[in-house]
Amino acid sequence: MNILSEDTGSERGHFFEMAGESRPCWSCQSDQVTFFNCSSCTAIQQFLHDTDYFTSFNMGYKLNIDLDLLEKQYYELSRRFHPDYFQQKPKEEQEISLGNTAFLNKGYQTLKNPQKRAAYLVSLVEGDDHLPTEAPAELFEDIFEIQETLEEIRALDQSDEAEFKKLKTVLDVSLEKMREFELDEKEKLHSLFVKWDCIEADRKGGSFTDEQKGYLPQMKQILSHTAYLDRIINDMKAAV
Amino acid sequence: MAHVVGIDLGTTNSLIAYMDGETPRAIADDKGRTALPSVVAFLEEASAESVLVGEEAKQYLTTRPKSTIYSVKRFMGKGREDLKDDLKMLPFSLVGQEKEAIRIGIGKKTYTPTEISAHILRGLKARAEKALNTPITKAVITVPAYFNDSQRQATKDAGKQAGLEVLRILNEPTAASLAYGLQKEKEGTIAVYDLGGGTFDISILKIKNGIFQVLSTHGDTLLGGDDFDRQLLKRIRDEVLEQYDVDLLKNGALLQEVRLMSEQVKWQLSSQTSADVSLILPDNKGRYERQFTRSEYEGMIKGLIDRTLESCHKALSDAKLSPEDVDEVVLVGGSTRVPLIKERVGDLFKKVPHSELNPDEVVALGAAVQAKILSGGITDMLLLDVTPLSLGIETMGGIVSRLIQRNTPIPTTAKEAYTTHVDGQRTVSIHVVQGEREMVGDCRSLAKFNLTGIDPLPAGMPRIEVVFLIDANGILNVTAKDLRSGKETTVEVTPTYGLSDEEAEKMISASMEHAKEDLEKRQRIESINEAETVLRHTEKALAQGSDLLDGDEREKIEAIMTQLKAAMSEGTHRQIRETLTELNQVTQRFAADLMSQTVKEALKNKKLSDV
Repeated sequence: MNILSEDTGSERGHFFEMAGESRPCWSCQSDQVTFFNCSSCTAIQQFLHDTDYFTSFNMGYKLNIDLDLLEKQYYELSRRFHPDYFQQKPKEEQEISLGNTAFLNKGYQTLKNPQKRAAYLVSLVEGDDHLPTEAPAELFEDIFEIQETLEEIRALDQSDEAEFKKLKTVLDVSLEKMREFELDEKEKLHSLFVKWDCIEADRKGGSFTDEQKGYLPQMKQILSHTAYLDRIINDMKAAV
Repeated sequence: MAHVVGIDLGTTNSLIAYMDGETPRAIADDKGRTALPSVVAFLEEASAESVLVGEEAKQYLTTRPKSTIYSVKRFMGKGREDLKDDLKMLPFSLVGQEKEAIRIGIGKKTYTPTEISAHILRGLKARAEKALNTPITKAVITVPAYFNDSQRQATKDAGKQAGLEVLRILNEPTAASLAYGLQKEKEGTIAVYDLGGGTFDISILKIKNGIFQVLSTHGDTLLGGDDFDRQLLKRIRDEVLEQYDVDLLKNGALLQEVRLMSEQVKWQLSSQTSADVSLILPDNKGRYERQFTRSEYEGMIKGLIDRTLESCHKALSDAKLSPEDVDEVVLVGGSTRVPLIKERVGDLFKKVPHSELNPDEVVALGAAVQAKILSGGITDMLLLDVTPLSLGIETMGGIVSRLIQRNTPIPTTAKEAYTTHVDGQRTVSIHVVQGEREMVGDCRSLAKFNLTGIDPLPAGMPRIEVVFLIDANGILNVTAKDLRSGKETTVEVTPTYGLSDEEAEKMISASMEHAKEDLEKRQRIESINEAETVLRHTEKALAQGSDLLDGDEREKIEAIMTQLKAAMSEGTHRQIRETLTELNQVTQRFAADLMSQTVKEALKNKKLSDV
C-alpha cells in the first residue's frame, strides 16, 4: 500500500498532521495545512522544527525497519519536495523545497544505517546528540598492541618489505578480531532493537516507556564501541 | 514556448540539445555537424574583438598557435600552481600570479578560462537560436561529476557571461544516464564510465520507477583523451629531439601539428592495428617517419586506463557494491572508442559494456531532458545526485573536521557547533575546505570568512553554529551563527583559486597513499591539543592549591610538565601520550585533594539538607 498517496494519507495521517505544534500556511494563512502542502492554496510547507526523521518517513519509532519501504518513502517524498519540481514556483517555495529535501536526504542516510538510526533515536529521546567514541574495555590489550604495530609500520623503512609483510600479517590477524568483535556488538544491538520494537508495538502514543528508556544506556555503549571500532579498523586498513 | 536547452561544455567538443516533443535532439550547424570544437581563436589584426569559435577557429590551431585556445576546460577554476609540467606543453601562454586564477595571454590582453568558455557558449547559443528561430535564455550546463566547487562556479559564471540563466549545473554521467534511461526504459543498477577529452568520471546509479538515484561517483578531472594524445606526443617529441635535434616544444606550430597527428593516430588505432606518422621538419632537417602498432600504443596508455579502473573500484566500494551487482555498464565520451578501454572496463564489471548510444551526444541529450524536467515539462523522472567530495572546516592545528561526507545525496545540510579557544575571543574565522585528506593544507580551500562580534566570554563558552548547505547544483553555501547573540554571517562561496588544487584532483587516491602520515599528523595534533589543556589546568591547580603540595611532589610535577612541553615540540604522538599519562598519574592525589577542598568550601555555609 502506498501510504503516502493522498487518498490514504488521511486515515494514516496522524504522523503528517504535525504532532504537537500546528501552524497556518505561510502563503495564504489558511489552517488547512497537510504534511505536503496547503490544501487551500497548494503552496508547499516547511517541515516543523520538531519533525523528526522517523515521523517524516512514516516509519514509526521502530528500530528494525523495512529498508525497501524506507526507500519507497524516500522516493515518494523526493517526488513531492525535490527542488527540480519547484523551478517555476515562487522563491519562497523554492527555498522550502530545498530545505525539506536536504532534511529528507539526511533522514534517509540516517535511517538507512542501523547504527546511525539508533544513535538518532537516542538523541531524540535524550535530547543530546553527542555520542562518545570509546574502546571496549575487553579489547584494551589488543588495541595497545595494534597501536604499537601501527607505530612500527609508520617508522618502517619503505624498502624493508620483509618486515612490512611480517607486521601486516600481525595486523591482519588483529583486524579480523576487531571485525568479529564489531559483528558481535552489532548483533547485541540488533537484539536490543527487537526488544525495543516489541514494546513500541504496544505503546499507544504518549511518551516512551521506562522499559524502553532502560535499553538506551546499553545501546549507547554499543554505539560508542562500534564508532571506535570503525575508526580503528579504518586506521588499520589505511596502514596496510 | 521558449526552449530551455541542455549544453555539454566539453574539453574537446561542445554540444547543445533541446527537446523536440518527447525526444532530445542535438542541434547541428549548416553542414550537419552537432559537435562544436571547443576551440576559440582570437584574430588580433581584425577590427575590435574578432573572435572565432568551433570549426572556424580550429583551422587556426597550427597557423596561429599562440592565439588559438583549445582544451580550456582543463583550466576552469584553477590556479597557476595547479598546473603540472604536462600542461605546460601548450602552444599558448598561461599567465597569472601565484594564488590567482589562471589567465591566458593573447597579445597584450589576458583572458580567464571562464571568459573563453563563455565564447564557446555564445557560439552554441547562436547556433540554437538560428536553428529554433527563438531567443535562448535558459540552459542546463553539464560538468564532470568530479568537478569541485570552484570549477562548478567557474562554469556557472561562464553561462552568465554568455547571457544564459543557468538553471542547473548537472553532472555529465548523470545526464548520460537520463538519456540512456529514457531510450532504454530499463531499471536496475548501472555504471556510467565517462572518459572525455580531459576528464574522467565513473558514476553508479540505481534506476527505479523514473527515479535516477546516484549511489556514488568518483573520477579524475585531469585525465582524458588529451592525456592519451600527450603520451604519444611525448614519445614523438623525444624521438625527434634525439634523432634530428629538433625540439617541438620550441615550435608552437609544429607542436600543434604533432598533437593533432597524435589524435589521428589514436583514432586510426581504434580500428586498425597500425598507423603511420610522417612529419616534415623545418629548416631542411629532414622527415620523421614512424609506424606505431596498436600494442605499442596500448603500452603507452595502459597506466592511464589503470587509473580510471582504480576510480571504478573506489566508486563501487563507496556504493557498497561489487562488480557483479552492476546490471549494465554504459560508455560515454569519445575516448571510450579506444578498444583497450572497452576490454578493460568489460573485464572489471564482468560484462560487455553498452556503447550503442552515441557517446559524443548522450551527455547533451541528457542535459536537454533535465532542462525539460526543470521547466515542468516532465514530471515522472527525477534525478537524485550526490556531492563528489567531502566538505569540512578547519579546526585547531589545521585538522579538517568533516561536515559532509563525499557521496552524500544533495541538496544537503550539515550543522556543527564551534567554540572559542581564548578567553574573551571576539572573532572566529571559518575556513571551508573540500577534499578527503585529514589536514587542511592537503585539501582544496573554498572560502575563508570571519564571524565577528562574538560576546567576550571565557574560552569554550560561546557556541557558534556553522551550517553548510549544498544545493542541487553541488554548489556550497555556508552560514555561521552565534547561538548566544543570534548574530549571523552568510557566505557565498566564491572560487578561491590556487592553494592546493592539484591535490584536489587526486584527493581520494592521495588520501589512501597518505593515510599513514596523515594519521600520525592527526594523532600528534590531537595529543598536543589535549596536552595543552592538561597543562593549563595543572598550572591553574598548582597556583590554587599550593598549600596541598609538599616540595618534592611539586618538583616532580613540574619536571614532568617540562618533559611534556619538550615532547609537544619535538616528540611523536606516542611520546606526548606517555608523558601525559605520567603527568596524570603524579597529579592524581593532588587533584583529588584539590577537588575535595573545593567541594568542602562550596558546602561550608550550607546545611546538608540544602545539598
